[in-house]
Amino acid sequence: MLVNLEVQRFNPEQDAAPHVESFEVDVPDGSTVLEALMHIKDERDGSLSFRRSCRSAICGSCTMSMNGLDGLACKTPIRQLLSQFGESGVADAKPHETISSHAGQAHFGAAATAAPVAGAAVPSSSVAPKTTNGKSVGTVRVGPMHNLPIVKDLVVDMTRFWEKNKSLKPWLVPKNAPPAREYPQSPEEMERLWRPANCIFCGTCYSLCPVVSVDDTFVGPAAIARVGYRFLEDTRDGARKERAETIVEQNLWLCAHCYACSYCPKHVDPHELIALSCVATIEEGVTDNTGARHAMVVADTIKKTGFLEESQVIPGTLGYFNLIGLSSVMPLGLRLLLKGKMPPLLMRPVPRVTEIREIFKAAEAKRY
Amino acid sequence: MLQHDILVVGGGLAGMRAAVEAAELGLDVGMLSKIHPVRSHSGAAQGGINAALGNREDDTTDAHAFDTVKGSDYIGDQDAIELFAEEAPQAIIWLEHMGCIFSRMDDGRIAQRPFGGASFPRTCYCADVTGLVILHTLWEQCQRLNVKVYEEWFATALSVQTGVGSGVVALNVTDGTIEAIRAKATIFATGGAGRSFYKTTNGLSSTGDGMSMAYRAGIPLLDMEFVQFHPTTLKSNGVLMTEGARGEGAYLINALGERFMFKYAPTKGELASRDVVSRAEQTEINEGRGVDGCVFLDLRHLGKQKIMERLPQIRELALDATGIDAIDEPVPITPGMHYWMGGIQTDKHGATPVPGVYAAGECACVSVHGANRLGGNSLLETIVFGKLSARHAADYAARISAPDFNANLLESERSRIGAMLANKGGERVNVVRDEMGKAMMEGAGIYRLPATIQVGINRIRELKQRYKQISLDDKGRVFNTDLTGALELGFLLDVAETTLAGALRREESRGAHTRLDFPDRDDEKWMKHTQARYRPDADPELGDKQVTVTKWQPQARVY
Repeated sequence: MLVNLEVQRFNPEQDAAPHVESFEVDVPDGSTVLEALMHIKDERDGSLSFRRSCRSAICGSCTMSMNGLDGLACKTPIRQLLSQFGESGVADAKPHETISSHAGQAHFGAAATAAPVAGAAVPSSSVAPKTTNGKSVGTVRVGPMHNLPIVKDLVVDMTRFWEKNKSLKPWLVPKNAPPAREYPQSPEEMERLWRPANCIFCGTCYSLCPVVSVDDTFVGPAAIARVGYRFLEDTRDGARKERAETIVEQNLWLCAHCYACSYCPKHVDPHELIALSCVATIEEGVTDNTGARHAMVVADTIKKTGFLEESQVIPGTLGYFNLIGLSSVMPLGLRLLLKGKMPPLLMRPVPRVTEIREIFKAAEAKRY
Repeated sequence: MLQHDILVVGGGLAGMRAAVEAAELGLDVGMLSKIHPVRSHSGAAQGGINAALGNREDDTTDAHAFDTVKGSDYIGDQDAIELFAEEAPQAIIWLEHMGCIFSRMDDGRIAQRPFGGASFPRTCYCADVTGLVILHTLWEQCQRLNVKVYEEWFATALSVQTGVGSGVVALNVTDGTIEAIRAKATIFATGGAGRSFYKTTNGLSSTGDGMSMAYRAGIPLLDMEFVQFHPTTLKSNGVLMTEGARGEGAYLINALGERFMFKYAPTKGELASRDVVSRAEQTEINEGRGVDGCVFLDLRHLGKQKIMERLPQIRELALDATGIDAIDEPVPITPGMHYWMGGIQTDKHGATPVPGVYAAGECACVSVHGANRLGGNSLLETIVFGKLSARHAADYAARISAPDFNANLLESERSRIGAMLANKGGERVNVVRDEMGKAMMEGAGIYRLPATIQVGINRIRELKQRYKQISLDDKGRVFNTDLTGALELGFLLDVAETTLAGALRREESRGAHTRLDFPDRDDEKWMKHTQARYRPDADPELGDKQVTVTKWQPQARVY
């Protein structure tokens, strides 16, 4: 099948900024994005740079952005990508009547146009492709993963990603002195570790995370799920309390619960493990922080009255004796009061509030 | 100059196990890896790791050793195999104590599953991602110990000065600089060379780097003709379907729906050793009982729950590649090139004949696998001999003062690579690479004939000349994977050449090496290892090495 690949290129030795280059390639039906890229590298332009190794979704090398969504190129069939998300068209308003004029060229002096940020929509280069009479199955736009600096083409510098993982102490701190044989662990206890065990550090979730994109102090979904949760939940580990403290220091609670990281090529679904990690830190008594206080006061007010009592949530989150914090929200309170929108300070419980309390009780009893 | 007591080249299971041991012993260790360690192909190992823990049945290390000797078709070195089997239980317990995640029995002990060629259920596993969990455990330990990692550094040549190994020359892929890294002891743990075949289960990084670097520096390669074909690989992309599937009870069926394996292995059936099963499949296919070059792996009777619990990864890999859901339909599979039994000659402690140079894992030939490796023994080899090679390298490093780096090597490597970058008008890397792959498929496949092997040898000889003229598109310094691909191709050509040379020389059929013109094993003449030595600009010099037999005399091998 013919497919048009619009690949973001950046060579730091030549380019001031990234630009897009089009390649029309003929690859076997059923090919993945990675296979198309390898075809380009082999047959057309050996300077096209990307990481790859296992080509079976286990090494985590080939994470990139494809038609705006990040994932493993080796696990993304071109046809599936086109049928799921349609043609890219993000920055290309013209029909994809394209053929590459670059076959065999070693270097591209195309005037780079803009957008030095990884994965951002970059305009096509002026070396415009020509017609193919519409035979191409579609256009795949390929760019580097987001939230990390570009090294070259689709290769990014993952140093910060690895540092975030390391910040959560990714190794077992044994609870007990090692026995002569294995530490016993039941199939159910092992089962809790199964999902994080499937993480391959591909960084898809880190690349998709909108919190990481605005605040690099956030440790990120992979680290929380694969390192944080995995060791918090390992019955052999003896450092649960310290881990809870560390993960909160690394801004666990900055997670915005947006579910972007649920799109995980290995079905780890970091978001749910982040939520469970939050629970674990509260279980360990690491509650003297905004995130935990907020979660607890929200739950408490609902348990008490059936309502989210907004008048309680703000002081409850900031701390009732946090005078500086409270005074900073005073102007807001005053404005609400003047507009007649101040939530009531005391709320009457809804009828049959005990049923709501039963729901909480059941939820708290069944963590998994 | 960069320097360490111990330099480990390769960051997969064997390399990280060696680095962890050296760090635990308090040595200054550096670990160089051309890809980030967690990207290593060890992580693609699925089915498990063998050890006679006896958790399910009363197994013994002696039974493990014997099964391995029999699996090797009696050409494995029995002193090394006995050590290997004895070290196994402790190796697993060590991994578990480091936090490795294993599937468990109800009583909390590590679960074990049956595997090919094993007389007991001996294979410890974590569903079908065993390599990944062990790889991650070792990476965790490397971080705990703050092992110095040369991440995305590509070793190009081994330094040997006055007969003593003293480190490597390496390319820092990120910025293109070429440096010498001096070490008292160098441990190669660079994995296999599957990419010398056009189609393989191996990832794109399995390019025989260490084998070739050691060979060029004068260390012999052993038993290179023994190449394992895994019985269950996907036709379209060569991806592995674990032996654990058959361990869990999956059937192999032909186009007629028959379970054909009992014709070839009356007792073990699907769980005969890999060489036997692959040959049986190929025979079924050749005799017209296949479909489109495949037979079928049938998991249906295992049921959805067991498949999702024990084999979820392979179900998804097959689904992604073929659209077939193994829960509902048999998966078409074909034997595929998988593993290199041969490699860098070492003793049972990982030491090569050159002092200061060690090797462990797939790149080494200790030899514990002989002519055919048992499933579950390769992960074990990395853990056992990774550790032992580091211990012995540490002892060695404590005894010597820092050796001299080969004075000319850094400059000659810089100029070799500079010339490669500067060359214009030659062939593309992939042209030579693909021709090599096809020559190996034809010359070094499951069934071998001297005429086709010779064709392969001639082709590789020719390709080695053409390789000198290849030219690259990428002339830059930063992250030049065009360049590393070309350097890898150079390594692979050495592997291909020695493999075909061994295949032509060994006039018998043993383990994975099947010569149609010599269909029987010949213990009189060939109970010995093939040894290949490098000669600059000439064919390899071939010789023999004695096989060590301790207590198991060769017998007929029936499964």
